[in-house]
Amino acid sequence: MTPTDDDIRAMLAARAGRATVDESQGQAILASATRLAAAEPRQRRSWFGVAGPLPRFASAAASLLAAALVLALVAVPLANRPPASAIPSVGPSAAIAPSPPASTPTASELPEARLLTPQELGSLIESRGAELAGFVVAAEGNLMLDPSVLCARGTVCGNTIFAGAGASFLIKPVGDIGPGPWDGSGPKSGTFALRITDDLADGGRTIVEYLGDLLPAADRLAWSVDELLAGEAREEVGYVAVRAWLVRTPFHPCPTIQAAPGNGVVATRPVYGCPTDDTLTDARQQPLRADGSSLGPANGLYMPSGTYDEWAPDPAAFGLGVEPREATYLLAWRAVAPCGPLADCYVGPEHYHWLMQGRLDPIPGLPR
Amino acid sequence: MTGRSEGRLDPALIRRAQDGDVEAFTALVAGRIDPMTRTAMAILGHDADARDAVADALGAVWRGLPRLRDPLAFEAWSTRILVHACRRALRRRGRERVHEVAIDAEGAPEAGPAGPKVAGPADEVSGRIALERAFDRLDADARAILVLHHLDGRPLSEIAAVLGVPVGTAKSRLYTARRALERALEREDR
Repeated sequence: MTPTDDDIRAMLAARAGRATVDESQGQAILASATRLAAAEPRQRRSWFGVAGPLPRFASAAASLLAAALVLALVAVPLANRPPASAIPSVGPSAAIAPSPPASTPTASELPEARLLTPQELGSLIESRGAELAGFVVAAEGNLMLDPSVLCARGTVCGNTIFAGAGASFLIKPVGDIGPGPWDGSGPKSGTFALRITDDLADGGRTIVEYLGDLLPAADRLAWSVDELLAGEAREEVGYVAVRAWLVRTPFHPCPTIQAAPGNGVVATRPVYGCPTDDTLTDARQQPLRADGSSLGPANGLYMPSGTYDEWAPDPAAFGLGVEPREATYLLAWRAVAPCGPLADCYVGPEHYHWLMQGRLDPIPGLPR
Repeated sequence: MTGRSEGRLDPALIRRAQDGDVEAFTALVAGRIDPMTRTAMAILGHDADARDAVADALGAVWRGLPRLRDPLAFEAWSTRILVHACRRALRRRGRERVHEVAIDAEGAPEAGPAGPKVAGPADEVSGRIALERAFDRLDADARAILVLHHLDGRPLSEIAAVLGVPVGTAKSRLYTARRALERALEREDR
């Protein structure tokens, strides 16, 4: 039986009609929401986020609290620590500084990443394009062919522009970008990951690279690691931003990899964790322990070795390990071949992972 | 009656809520609880889950309000947050709960004389039950887009705004969800 529109409508109406929100339940929901509102008072909004002295005060207080917490925890005798199952790093007897606890809540000074409007992006590139070359930004709008260029019927000509952004730049699609105005598929609206370059097109217009579509979280731009681990980002969307801490363990020996005879298959899943374990976490965490071993987070997003060294802002050593670095990182859902470089084997859904592709750094001077 | 709230929300009220006015926020969402619960109930099929999803969504609405640029987009934006909360609720629930399908007393099957089968209220009810079971086989996104279209009666442009996708994508997702429902119903009929 094929259901008609009326069948579906009637079924859904009956289903929705079973919701029993009587007055007291409605008031309970409302009270829950308004209690939250009263408990999280706000100063005046800025047009993209929260501003005003209260958040700054809260942030400073949280910083002091976090610092006190770190001091208190570092002072705990090592004998009282739970045993860390550990990946041995180079030399357990190596002298290193005492490590902070594995997961330390810290107040963050990192501004919240936000979407740029076409007008903002156009203005930024017009006035500071060369300075901002290399920045990856998230912007919301409409990509379309330049309407000032007349094309013969049925042909694709002209450059792709960002509607409403002015004439200071052109869009150049790069990588695996899918259909769009560049192939005659028509305008494309949505949220995009774009990279500002210092390349100039004919006519002196800056080239901005279109990396792909970006999926914002429900009520903000950047997702949390927990949300990504729960699979809440839709996987067919190319990019997501995640606000998180990136860290890695010290170098440690790699496991012996047994090559299957003949086809070069080396593993059924990506061999992360060799020679370092690189992880993204919601809370600041330091995997390096005071005894020289290291312990990965219980709830982290594992990245390929080398991710920290490539993408952490201001990477810095911490004993034999590194300092965790917080940023808004750009991730893409990509197939990670489980096979050796010369193998020809099946890559299924289970082989897709979030891989780091860049960072959305705060743009100096841009109002928050 | 659909799950949509009637009438346009007052932009001034939204702006006041954005500025942190709790009373304005209360006034803003008070009228949204019932339609939001109906939408959540249609997606989730479970009363308590629907209420939890609405409460979660309203919390996220409060936190996210300062970042809402266009007050006129409040309805679509808050519905998007609700759909997201429903997706989370469905994932939390997993498959552990046995779904109960209510049968209206007036529409319940009645014993009748034997004879040639004629479509009647009993067939309608059993058809609706099978359709609802088929609907419960769908993932959250397929359920949401069918609810937005068939229950809320939203045009594709509005669905696209709620889901944050281009109109063409919304159209293809709606088609895919409809096909998935048909396939699920075929399995129910076997």
